[in-house]
Amino acid sequence: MSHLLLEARNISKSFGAVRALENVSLSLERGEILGLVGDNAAGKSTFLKILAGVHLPDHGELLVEGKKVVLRNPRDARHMGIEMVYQDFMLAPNLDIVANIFLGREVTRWRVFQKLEKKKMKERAAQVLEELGVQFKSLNTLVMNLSGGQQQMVAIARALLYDPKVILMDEPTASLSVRAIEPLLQLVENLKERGCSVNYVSHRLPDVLAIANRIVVLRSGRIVAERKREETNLEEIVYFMMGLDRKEGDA
Amino acid sequence: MSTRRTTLVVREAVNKAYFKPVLFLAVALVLATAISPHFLTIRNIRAILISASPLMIVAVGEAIVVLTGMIDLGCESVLASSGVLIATMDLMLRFPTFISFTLTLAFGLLIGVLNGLLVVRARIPSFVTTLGMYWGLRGLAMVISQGYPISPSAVSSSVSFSFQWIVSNFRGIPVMVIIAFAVAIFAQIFISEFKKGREIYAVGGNELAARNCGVNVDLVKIQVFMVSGFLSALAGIIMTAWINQAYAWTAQGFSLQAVAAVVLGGIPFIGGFGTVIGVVIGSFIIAMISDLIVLLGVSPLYSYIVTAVVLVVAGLQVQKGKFVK
Repeated sequence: MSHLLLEARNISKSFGAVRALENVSLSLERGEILGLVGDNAAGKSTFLKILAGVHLPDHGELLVEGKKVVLRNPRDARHMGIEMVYQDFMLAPNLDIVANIFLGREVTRWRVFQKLEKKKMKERAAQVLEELGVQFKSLNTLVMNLSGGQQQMVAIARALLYDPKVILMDEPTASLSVRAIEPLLQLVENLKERGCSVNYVSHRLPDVLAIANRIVVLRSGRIVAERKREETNLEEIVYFMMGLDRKEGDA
Repeated sequence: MSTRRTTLVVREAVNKAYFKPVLFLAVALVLATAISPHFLTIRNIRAILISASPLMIVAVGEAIVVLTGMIDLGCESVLASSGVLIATMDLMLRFPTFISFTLTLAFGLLIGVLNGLLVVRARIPSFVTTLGMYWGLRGLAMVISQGYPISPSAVSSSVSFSFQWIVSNFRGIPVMVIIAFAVAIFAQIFISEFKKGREIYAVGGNELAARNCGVNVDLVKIQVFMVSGFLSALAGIIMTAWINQAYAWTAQGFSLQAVAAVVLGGIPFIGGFGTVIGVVIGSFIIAMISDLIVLLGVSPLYSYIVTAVVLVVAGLQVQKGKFVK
């Protein structure tokens, strides 16, 4: 078995005339937090979405535990143990907490008709949320009535539901209040302890420097630098993000 | 202590999705009884239930579609063309009842598949797709019937539709009312207790989230149109037996009445909220308005205006979310 959990080789992706990613190769080890940083339109989100099965790459291949895989949709990715926590959480506001946690993977009985096992789902949801250390008044609260931080906990609980191998996080702090950021970072550290690998994308460089084992910088769809956390600092990362020539960085 | 508990119980009841429709119904019943002493009689309620049944069946299908945030304007034309189809098969082709029944319902399902494919594959908005069905299937009904009513009495006074039993009574209760309620109860359980129902709500709540969570959104969309097509065809069969003829212009305005029942029932156009129980009540209220107008001896010409006022008032209650389109 390969010690690499997830490997992307020479991934390229274009949207029309826009080249979002060019020859990106990246790997993720077991229990590692990989920080992926870059300016706007550097291709971070596109890369995560390819790993999550939302987009198919134009070129290149993905390997999960050394085996080549094709992720045609998010369902495929989930089957491989890859979960994504989206920037805007991707929750259904009209459904309650339990329903959102189990969205697309409801526990059911009666094979063909698939009757919902509401009680079982509620118990399991409570269990996952307890592991996360979050409490809700009622698990039947509609998600539209939750705060941003609470919604994110629901999104993370959903990702943790079936012991994933990899969690992809796209700008997880973007819709959080400052107060809610610290607990989130702690949570990501805890995920690592559980043996999960986390691919963490963020604009907030201090956060990334605080939690990531390794930092990869993307610029205009290419990897321009890869550093271990101990070997780098904020200035260097900013320098890589912007590029040598400032004009190019702006472009 | 006990007051607090009472408050809690009350608040919980108010939060239930069907609270507003039930409230509407209660208000409507009280008003109706106050206006006309003849309203609250078994005979009259029975008459309302009978006249509401076809609408109720169509409205349940419409509700399932609107829950996903789409709309089906073609129901009434599926209804009319199904009626013409089954009348033709029954009277002219002399098909066994079972066969003509099955084929007519299959026709409804097929139209649903077609609607669904036009929406998910050709990416035409449901409003436009089903508006096309609205015209197209009226046209089909006209062509098949050549514009004439198809009626067993035209053949001979002793002949009747072989499926006439559908408008008979079972232990004193009209079969069509039993069918309508069975459909509604089944649909309510289906959307609240089964995975597919959950997916329907999820598509209405956040389609992209549903897709990213592995829900086959395209399949859900095709399936809700199939439900609507099937129920419209069923209503077409019942209507044909009820008025004892099939006519290409049957049930004019029915699609919009079904939409009105859905709105009265508390389902917003963006989908995702509301129940079938609410829609049943909505259909009942619409049937009640026509009934009251007759009871009061007011010209039936006013019934559309009254329905309009009630609908707009109800519309104030169902807006969810910030944006209204």
